[in-house]
Amino acid sequence: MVTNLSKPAISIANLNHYYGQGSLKKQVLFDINLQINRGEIIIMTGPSGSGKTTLLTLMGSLRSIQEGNLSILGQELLDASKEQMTLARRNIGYIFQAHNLLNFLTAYQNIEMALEIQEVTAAEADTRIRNILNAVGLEHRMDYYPSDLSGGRNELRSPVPWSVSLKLFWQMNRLLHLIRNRDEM
Amino acid sequence: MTKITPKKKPLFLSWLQLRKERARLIVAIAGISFADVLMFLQMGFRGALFSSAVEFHHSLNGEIVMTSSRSRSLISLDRFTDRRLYQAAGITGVASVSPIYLNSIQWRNPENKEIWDIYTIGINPEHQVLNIAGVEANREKLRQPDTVLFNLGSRREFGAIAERFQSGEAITTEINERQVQIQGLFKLSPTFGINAYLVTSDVNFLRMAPFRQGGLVDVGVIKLKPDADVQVVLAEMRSRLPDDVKVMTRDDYAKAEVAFWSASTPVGYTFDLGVVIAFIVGSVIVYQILYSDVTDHLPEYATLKAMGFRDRYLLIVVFQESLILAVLGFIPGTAIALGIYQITNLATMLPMAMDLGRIVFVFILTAIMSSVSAAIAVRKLQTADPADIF
Repeated sequence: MVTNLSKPAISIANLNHYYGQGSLKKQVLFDINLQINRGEIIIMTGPSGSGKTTLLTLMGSLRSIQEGNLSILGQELLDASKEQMTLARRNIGYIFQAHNLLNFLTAYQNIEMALEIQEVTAAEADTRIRNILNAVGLEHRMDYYPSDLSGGRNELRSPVPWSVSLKLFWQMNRLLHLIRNRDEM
Repeated sequence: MTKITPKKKPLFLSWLQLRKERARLIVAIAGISFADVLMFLQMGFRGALFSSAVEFHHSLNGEIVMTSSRSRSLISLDRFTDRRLYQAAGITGVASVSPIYLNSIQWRNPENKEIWDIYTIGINPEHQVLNIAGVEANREKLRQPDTVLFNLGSRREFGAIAERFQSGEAITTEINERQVQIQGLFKLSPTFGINAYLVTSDVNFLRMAPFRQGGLVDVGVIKLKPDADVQVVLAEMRSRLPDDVKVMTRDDYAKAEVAFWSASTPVGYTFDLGVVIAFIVGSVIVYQILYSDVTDHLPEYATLKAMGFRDRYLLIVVFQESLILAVLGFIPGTAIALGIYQITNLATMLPMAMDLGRIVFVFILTAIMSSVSAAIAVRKLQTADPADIF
């Protein structure tokens, strides 16, 4: 991973964001200034419609920056190309509200997917996949498809790349769960 | 930008995705097979038409063919005087000339007495005019009056002549109020214009077709000496003969017949259009399948995008899916087409034959069809903004 250790994890300056076009254009984020350092756990709260998700998707490089500066792990995302945004996402883990497992892949293959964009050997990949499955209690169900998983499915919500520098959570209980299992992850 | 070279064997995502939904996979394969069968049939009919149309032409035992300058095809003939042939015989390099009489003659089916037109070929029984095994073997029997050779590949309408003859039965029937006897069988496929053939001698021909005048012939076959140059002889003939006849090589004669069918009848166009329609139908089917597949997996693809997969990765997945479908649909499609070729062959006697060129061509069309569909379907995928799925 190419990350700059001396810079803050997320740095936001004078960030504005709008939805819609022309007369329907509506501003949702107003002059956001924010700095999050490495190792910090930040919880963002606010009423429905206040722009939490918008800010989260901007920080996750899932949406293009319109105005202001936003850098993740030292990389500026204003005017970033599609390719730069894609590469930035490789350093970020997302834990979404809904589960986003690939329904046509088994539990094992879903985790394997996350390794597709990393340089690992077959043996290393297998060890890491099995560790994750053990951590979420799915070691005996590794060949099950998401539709056949019940309990452990919540723990496996989306294929989270490990060794990411930044994790973004869409829900509190997922964060709490991960903190509880911190040693295993 | 770091170069991604995973040492781990990559997941075969496209196949895993196709395999998960068995019913959809089968429908997709059936759709592509159907389109392939349609294309194969259209091409098969077209090929059968052309190869059957020129079987007679290729059987002529001579390097040069003479016809009336107004003849266009075996079904659009004009006569010329055989004096032109004898003039041609005087040209250096010519070994022999043989006239051929051609006419539809009314044949009475000996079983149900129905009258059917049969395409009758009158040749000089002393010369080898047609390189057809059955004709050569029985040619000398045609010296007898009122004798004919019957066509093995002819349709049922003419009666089960071949079967009965082969079982040793003596078959006589009536042609233009003359009793004629079948003396042998030969093989010549029916065409889209000719249902069945009869071969007889020139003398018998004129007896059976009293409306035809001796000396006015339809085709002349010119055989050259072994050391003669075809082009030189042709040029000499063209300069010496009046323009009421035309001379050409045997291959050009066959080409002219094919050109007649393809350009001057609706047939060539019909089958070409059929191939195009089959291609479009196939493309629509594959597109529908791929499009709904992409739409259904959009949230999953968006997740992959969020994880840092490039658009290119997902495009490759969809293109792989389309090519897997192309291959899986092509195999049963080809098998079914071969079966239908056989059935059509038996039902119509048309020489439906598969050749490697056609198999390759249809496969390329299938691959193009699938790729084009995939290219349209992935436009949806490229618009999938990962931020819009939460």
